[in-house]
Amino acid sequence: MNRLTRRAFLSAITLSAAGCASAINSYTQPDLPSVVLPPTGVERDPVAHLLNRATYGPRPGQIARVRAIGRDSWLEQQLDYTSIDEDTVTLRLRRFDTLRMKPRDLLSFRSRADRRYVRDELAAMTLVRAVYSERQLYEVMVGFWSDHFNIYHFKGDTANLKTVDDREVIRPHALGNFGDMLRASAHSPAMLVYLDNVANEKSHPNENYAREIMELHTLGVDGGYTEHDIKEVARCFTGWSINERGEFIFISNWHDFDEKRVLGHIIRSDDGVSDGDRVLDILLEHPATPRFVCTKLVRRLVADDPPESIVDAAVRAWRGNNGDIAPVLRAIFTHPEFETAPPKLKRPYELLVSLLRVTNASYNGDNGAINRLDQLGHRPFGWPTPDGFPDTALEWTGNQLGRWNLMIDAFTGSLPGINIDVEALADVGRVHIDDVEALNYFGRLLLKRDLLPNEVMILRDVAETDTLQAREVLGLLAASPAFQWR
Amino acid sequence: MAEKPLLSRRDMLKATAAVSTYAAMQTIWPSWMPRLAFAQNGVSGDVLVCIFLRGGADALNMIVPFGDDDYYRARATLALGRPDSNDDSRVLALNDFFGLNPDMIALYDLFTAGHLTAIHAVGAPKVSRSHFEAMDLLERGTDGESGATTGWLGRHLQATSTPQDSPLRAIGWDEKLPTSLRGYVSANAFRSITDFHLHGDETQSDRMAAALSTLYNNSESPLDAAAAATIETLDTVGRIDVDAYIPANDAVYSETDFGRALKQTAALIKADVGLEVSCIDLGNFDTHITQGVTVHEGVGFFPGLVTEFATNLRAFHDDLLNEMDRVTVVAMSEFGRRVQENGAGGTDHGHGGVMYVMGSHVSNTPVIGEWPGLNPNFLADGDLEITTDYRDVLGEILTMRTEQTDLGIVFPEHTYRPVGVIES
Repeated sequence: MNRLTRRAFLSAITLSAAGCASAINSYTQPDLPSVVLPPTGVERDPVAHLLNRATYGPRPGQIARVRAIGRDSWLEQQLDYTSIDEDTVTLRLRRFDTLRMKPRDLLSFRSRADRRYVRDELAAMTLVRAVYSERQLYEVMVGFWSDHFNIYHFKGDTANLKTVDDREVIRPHALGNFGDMLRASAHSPAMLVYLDNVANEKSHPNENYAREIMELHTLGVDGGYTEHDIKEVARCFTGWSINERGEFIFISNWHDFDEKRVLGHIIRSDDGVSDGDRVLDILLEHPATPRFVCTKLVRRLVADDPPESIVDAAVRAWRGNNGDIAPVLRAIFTHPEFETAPPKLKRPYELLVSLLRVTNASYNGDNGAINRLDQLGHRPFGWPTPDGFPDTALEWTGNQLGRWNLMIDAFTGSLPGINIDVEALADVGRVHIDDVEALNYFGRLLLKRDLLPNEVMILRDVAETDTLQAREVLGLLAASPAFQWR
Repeated sequence: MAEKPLLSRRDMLKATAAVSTYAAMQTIWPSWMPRLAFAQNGVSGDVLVCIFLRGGADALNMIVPFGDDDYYRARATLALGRPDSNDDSRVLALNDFFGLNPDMIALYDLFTAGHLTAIHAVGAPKVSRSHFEAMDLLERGTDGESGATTGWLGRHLQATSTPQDSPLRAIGWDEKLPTSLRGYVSANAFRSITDFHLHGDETQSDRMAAALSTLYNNSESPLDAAAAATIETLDTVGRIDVDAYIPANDAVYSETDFGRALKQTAALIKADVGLEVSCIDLGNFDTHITQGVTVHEGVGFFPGLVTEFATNLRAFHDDLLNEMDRVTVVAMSEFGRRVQENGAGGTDHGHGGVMYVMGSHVSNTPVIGEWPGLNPNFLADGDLEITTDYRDVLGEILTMRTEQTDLGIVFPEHTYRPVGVIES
């Protein structure tokens, strides 16, 4: 099928699908429980703490449900993610043309507008899944690995090929085995483009991928490799490239068949392509790899300054299970020190998703939310450098105004595609939206604790002005310091 | 607190010396002028105003090499006249070799007084005739496709950031952040400072800001300082009445995106809101067809563009006459144009171009740079050769006029050699 025909075909589908999209969206919008009783008291609720770290934020009523089955059982369910029903998300994703598109067809989107279309779809699909999927720990890990194996969406063909990387590298292995994911990533056309291995040939080696796979994907900058190791690893990966259909190929003519020495190991293969495979094995067997990756995991899930004891436990679980990810997560979330973890600042994406989840908001996949995240420096796949988005509070303290406006706009219906049904929430909380008690209820719903006296005083005072709407007051509640942390 | 805890926004702002003096000063300050809400956040370097002439500006018809006979051979219809000719298009001599396009006469005094200097035959060593690729290279400050994906200003700002940074530390005057600012997560992108405001009910934004101010006062989170700075900046910006702003010294800006961005930049500099980097675009300079020579002839859009560039730059300088010791303006384009004019009265994509640096501290030499000559035998594929790497110009500004101490972070692939654009 030639390109024009295919596009015409697609737009025909889109037209006919436009009507069903809204029907599907309303059909798959989760119902609120008949009663919502958020936690009271000023102590941090332990279930809320777990959900704040292992999910993108609890939904109304979720804390009570998890408490009923027990934290450990819930965690096991989440780790066994394929057993969790995903039909509603699948239905919501049907409107996205590029979801299952082959690399060859994705690559046919060439103009700037075409590429924007592919990028926007993947970013919006990611947000839809984060908001609606019941496989929350899985989605949190997809986010983590998308940062760990960061690919910038605005470097040539990565716009097209990141969709394949998301589908075939990150998602199949996000709760699987790290070695499998690393191998898949090394063969990922998007990664080969992003880190320039497509230009790595014997006559002029390109060291970009060689450097980053050691510094950022496996060993860490202090992992014990040298500049010489980088040069040798680059030689091993010469010829790892992609064809015009956007598939991995090994170009034998580009490969450096001479002997290499990487981290003390002699590498020389007859077929050439195995040199790179051997490098991956060496990196996976190296003790620096689990320590580096587990430290990052603990930073994401526990604290900016990762507690050594939790990292140690995670590394032990990694080693005892050959790099399987689920046991590592189990070790982290069940570690006694996890309970006392200090708050983590929500980055803009997490701030938005947590609000949409905690308010049972609807999101229809509109680009408006993605563009707003772009302005806040946190568009999915929008981080330029291979180190992935920063993950400590200090790096995200700028642009407070943008965060406040994001919260206010979400509540006032000023973010395209996003709707928070405040009245429905008030109904299940058995409060009237204009009553003072509503403020306490929404406070407990968002913060999972009672509002402090000064919070009540400040917000009530604002609420009592003539023209200010309840939605704006709730926007301020979401913009308040306490909701910025998870 | 019992009867009316939130009397007004000002009560909730952190106490500053300025609050008590505000009432007294209000009467003598112009109406657009905000109070000085806080000291400059410890900013001790210059405000950098980075102008990008989009589309590939024709350097040879801006800073004209009238002393090079090959210029006249290559530009049969587009050449500007020698300064001593009677030609209507005759250039204004900057020295015995280069002259200024007469449509840029507004800048002539600044050149001769040593407030403005041009660096000729400047650009990126890597040749790219693609607008997108060339702009991308310059804005990222790298040599090639690979290399840093962040922008040079983004890296500069990130490397010198502190917890006390102003929320208005960096602004790109467009809906989208320019590539040069990528990598600094707190950079702002907007078309007007009126976009820097709290959303929601406009009539209640003071109350909403006051509530946020109180919520973030002693919340004991690391966000308190950033929130307080944001509230103060909102207050300051809210008082800048853009429409009522009267530039100093009868300066007149154009009613264009370019003029407005420069004018608002000037207002923010005077208001001391902690602005450090302002990125402004002017374009489109992509003059393939009927480029035009001078405004006088009334043909083509190049003359209008260079006029807009020159008059607004001059207005900015006049407006900020008393501040130009802490402001550096730099202007560049992604490439110059082909030496030989084409058959359509225009010029095609070339390589070497010109940069401008303005400030009270720039070199007294009006035109800097080794001239490679326009002899067809010396041209690189028909283009003006590069004799100065643009990163040496930017690097010198950062080194001499900002807090930047590590150019290796800003331009990782480049070894810096000062050019002499800043008086030492």
